[in-house]
Amino acid sequence: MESEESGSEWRALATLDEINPGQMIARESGDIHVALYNVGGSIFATDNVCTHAYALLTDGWLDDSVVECPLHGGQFNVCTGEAICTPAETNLRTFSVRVVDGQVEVLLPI
Amino acid sequence: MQRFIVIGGGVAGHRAAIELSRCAPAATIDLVSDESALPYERPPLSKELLHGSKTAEEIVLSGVTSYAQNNIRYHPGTRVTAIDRDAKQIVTQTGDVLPYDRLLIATGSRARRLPTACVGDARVHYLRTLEDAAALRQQMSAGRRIVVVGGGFIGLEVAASAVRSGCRVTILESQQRVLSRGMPALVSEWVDGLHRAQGVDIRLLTDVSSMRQQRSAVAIAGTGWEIEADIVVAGIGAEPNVELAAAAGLDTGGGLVVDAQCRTSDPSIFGAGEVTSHPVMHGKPRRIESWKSSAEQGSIAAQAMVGATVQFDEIPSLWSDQFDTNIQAIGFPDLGVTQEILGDPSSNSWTLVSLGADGSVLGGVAVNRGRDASALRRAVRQRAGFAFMRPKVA
Repeated sequence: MESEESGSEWRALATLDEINPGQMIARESGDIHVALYNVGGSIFATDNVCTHAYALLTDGWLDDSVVECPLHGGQFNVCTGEAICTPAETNLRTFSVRVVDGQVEVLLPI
Repeated sequence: MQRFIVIGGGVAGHRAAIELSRCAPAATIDLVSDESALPYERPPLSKELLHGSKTAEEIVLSGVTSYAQNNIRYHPGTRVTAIDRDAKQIVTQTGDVLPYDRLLIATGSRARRLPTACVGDARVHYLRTLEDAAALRQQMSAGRRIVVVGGGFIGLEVAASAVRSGCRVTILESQQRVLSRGMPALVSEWVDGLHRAQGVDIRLLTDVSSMRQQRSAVAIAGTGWEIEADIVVAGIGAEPNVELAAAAGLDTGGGLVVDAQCRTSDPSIFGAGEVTSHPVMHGKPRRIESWKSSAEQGSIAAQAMVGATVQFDEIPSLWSDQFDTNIQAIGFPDLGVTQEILGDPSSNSWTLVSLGADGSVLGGVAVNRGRDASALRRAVRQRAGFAFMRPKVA
């Protein structure tokens, strides 16, 4: 895989047809848990672990661009990573996404 | 320049202060707390802090470090002794007088105490503050015998943390089931089984009549029984801190009475958090003991204080983490006339859905099923029927 910026590289984590609109899927790359979301046809990627307590967001609920954590109901905007509902108060890390030949590639730190 | 005062440094007061500074950057904001620490999260007190996976520094509420930049003056260790509504000022225990244009009462609640006649000279722990948790944690070492009086959420969480610390744990519950207040019997039975499987000795229909301090141990007795404990903790409910508001002549029946805009009977005084009794979506106004409700109500109250048209209509929502189990109670599970079950209650992942007479979802309890908790919140809000809760077909 090509290197894009220092310390990061694009990694193919899914194919586009694995993530239907309104759905999210979990992937792991190295020690990073990544959540991939399809919001109205566009793919977004964030850390999959809630910033409040240990839970995978993909076990929660996706409503348009908002994911709700399964453990305590914190909410994040998956496009920006912004924490928008208590008890979540720290934003999620987001990752750049590109789709190449049907492959969903995510720019992840090495 | 507008002057705002917030009494109470719990999550409601903290969130209100932050929101006030956002909505009214030019105003002065005084946040007055009788606790000495910076505002902190209370949920970890019975969990992470008690079994040692988090420290006091790690549970400070987000945003407290930026009080100064946000024009919030924090007054720790400061007890308010009076509200002078005519002069629109508060008086502290040191005699300081602070004037306000708008005042928020967010004094929270306190742990209900066992009757002195029952406790005698015995050392009994309660759990409400950082100091309470630190004192209890210091005692909770492996092999010690801990007796928890009260099988509510706090008692059960303390029991789970004590097991994790290696203590031998007994729960004494006066009712015929744990979680008897507000939780459906099926949830009580399941949680009872969870604790027994972890070695917790649960004694139901057990009233404590006396305690006696014997050197380092406490003898606890009731009708026809006596047990010894190294540590005694009581978790028998909470009482709203309404005294200040009551002395000022505000309506405090069942809690500080506020409307959906967080207003008391005095147009300059608002209320938020566990101290308040407020209108809810179903049934009579009630006092809700929930971190999430308190946090949201604090923000809404702040918006009301700056003159915004707002409505506090949060669906009640509480969580409890015990052992490896996450329980979320959403809405009004106690008000249902019929129940439906998703999943299998003999497994560790299932959900109870409470339905009203018209078939709409009033609330429910999700056990290790967070997605159902999310669905419950939406179903209650939309007054949807049970069909809403069934898994979506892809």
